[in-house]
Amino acid sequence: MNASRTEILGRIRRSLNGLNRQQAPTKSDSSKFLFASDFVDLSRIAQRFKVESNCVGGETEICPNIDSVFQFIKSLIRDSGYKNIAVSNHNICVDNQIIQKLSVDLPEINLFNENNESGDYFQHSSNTHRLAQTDLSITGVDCLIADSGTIILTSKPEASRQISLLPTAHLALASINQIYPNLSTALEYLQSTWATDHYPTAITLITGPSRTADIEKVLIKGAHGPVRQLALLIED
Amino acid sequence: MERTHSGFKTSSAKNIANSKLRETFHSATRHALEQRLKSIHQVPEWEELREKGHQIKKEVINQLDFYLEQLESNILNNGGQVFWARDADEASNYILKLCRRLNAKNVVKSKSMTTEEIKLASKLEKQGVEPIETDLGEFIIQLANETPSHIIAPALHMTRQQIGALFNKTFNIPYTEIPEELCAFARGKLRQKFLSTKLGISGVNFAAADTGTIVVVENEGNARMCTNLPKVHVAIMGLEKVIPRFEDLSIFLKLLSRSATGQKQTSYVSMINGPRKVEDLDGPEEFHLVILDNGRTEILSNPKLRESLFCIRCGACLNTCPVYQRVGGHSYGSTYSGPIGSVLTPLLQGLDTAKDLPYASSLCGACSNICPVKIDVHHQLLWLREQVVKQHKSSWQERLAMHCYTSIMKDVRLYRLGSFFLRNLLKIFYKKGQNLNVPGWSKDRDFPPIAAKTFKELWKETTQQKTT
Repeated sequence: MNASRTEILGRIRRSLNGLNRQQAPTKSDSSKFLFASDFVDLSRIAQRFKVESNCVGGETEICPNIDSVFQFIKSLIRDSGYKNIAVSNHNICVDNQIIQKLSVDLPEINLFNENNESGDYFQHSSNTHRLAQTDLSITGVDCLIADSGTIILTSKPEASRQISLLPTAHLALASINQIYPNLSTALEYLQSTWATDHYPTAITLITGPSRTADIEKVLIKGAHGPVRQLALLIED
Repeated sequence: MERTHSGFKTSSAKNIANSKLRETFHSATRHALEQRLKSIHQVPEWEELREKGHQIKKEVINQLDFYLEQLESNILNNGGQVFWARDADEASNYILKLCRRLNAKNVVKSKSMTTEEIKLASKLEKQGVEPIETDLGEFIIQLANETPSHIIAPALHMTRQQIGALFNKTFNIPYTEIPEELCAFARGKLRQKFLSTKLGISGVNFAAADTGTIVVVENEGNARMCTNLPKVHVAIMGLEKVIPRFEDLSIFLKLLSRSATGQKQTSYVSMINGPRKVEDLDGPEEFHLVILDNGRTEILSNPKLRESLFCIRCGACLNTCPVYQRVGGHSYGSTYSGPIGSVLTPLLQGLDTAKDLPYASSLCGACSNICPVKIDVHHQLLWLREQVVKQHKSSWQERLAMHCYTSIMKDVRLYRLGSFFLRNLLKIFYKKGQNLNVPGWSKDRDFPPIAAKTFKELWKETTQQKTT
């Protein structure tokens, strides 16, 4: 608490003096403030996400089952020549044994499990420095937004904030049940899962790869964050 | 680089004569407007959304004390720290003190108009702390020792050749003017800084009072770096950036990204609730929020102009302004340029120092029409002009001319007489085959020829034709 605080608040009160002010704030209806254009065809919600994410340079694949997810990841790693792969501890990664299966099928790559010292590359460096050397990170998501092709990640014990930021490419695994039609419904869902006094430290909305148009308005992918932003939507 | 904003007339005249610069701004603003329009067509209810944004801003500004205290207490609950700064110096000194405590030789900064406003970078530099701008556009203009020319695209005024030459000179790398290569170089250069710096500074787009969440909107990922990697994160916000509720973000994020860049969503939106918690794997150990007044409570005290505090800094009014499109951001000589800048600058810094700016508008109203939170920008400019005139800051010639003009316009006989003489007088000059030399008008353009018939005559003919 500093002296300026009292002075600034005093100035505000004097400035607004005489205004007919409500004492208690009104309840918001922002989350109810939805239009017809906010809604998407729920039977085609995954397709909608794919279309929207492609529009902003993201890459989305709808996978009928977990086997096709592995097929996709393996060919992605081979085709792109990725060497260092980091995997989060989101349930979707742990339950499907992403690390274990990839290490069997692709013995030549370096795998690193966040929050677990079993990783075998850059043994002596911190999580951050490992992630900075990572070509591809694989994580789960908290939810997705169909009408803008957005994924939402929050900080939690299962995943760091940096795992979706530092690597060259970030791949998000999700079930199509995690897709919400629009921003309002997605935020409403997330708020319902958090205790009112304990929100996650960081909530990050990611829509396509990092981009800039600061040089002559030329659109460039990969300014500071990942150059490639991928999502695999699992149907069953 | 410090500049004064006494000379809008002089600098705009200089910039408008630079045809390359004029073309740059013209095409860039037109492109931005097209993108915006495309994204707005997807929201048929856009007008209702604007109205909603306006109402929420009105609610928050009318109860600013309540919401700021609520924001503060929630940030403290989240484990963050809050500092209230009356002016630019208080804010900068607080950040400087943090640098000293951390023994930080440098800081990484994401793009923030508020830090531009308080000239944070130059103050840190003077005290021996290197401020590293990490937004690509800001990085470029910092190297060039220039100031932003657009709220959203700071290096809009520079060509790829200029940027290529700048990188070549500064970093001794082979010359290239390929934007992708320039960007990749900056990415590598700045990545090292992100990984080694102790203090990260960001702005704030919105701060939700009911949860103590600060929100940073961006495309590059540099703000995520600044708010994730360093040991300490300081966010600085003008006190008008608070919004009542977390859920209101769904309204404002929609309004901001579409108005600013025509995107449905920007690449990244970071919502931050204080410093790293015990269960988190990473994130800054300390979080500080600086709440800045710096003249804003003065604006608040003026009921005519209070609405200008609704501004969410999208830059749409700059893009749509026929004056800005031609003269560019530097002509305004102030942190905030374009129509909203012409309102804010005289208010934040005094009418005496910026009395040109309310005149940097054709009063066409395009700014008010495009504003996502429905600020009546052009009427505020008009009101400011009135103040300039009232304080006798216009010349006596102008006042005399306006006085005569008023009497003529009020009396139909005087008007007819006046226009008759003026027309015929001008016709005589034209007959001589001269290009009319009207001081202040015909220097850069031809004086329009006199129409053969008056509007009244034409109107008479048209209505007669219709009846026959």
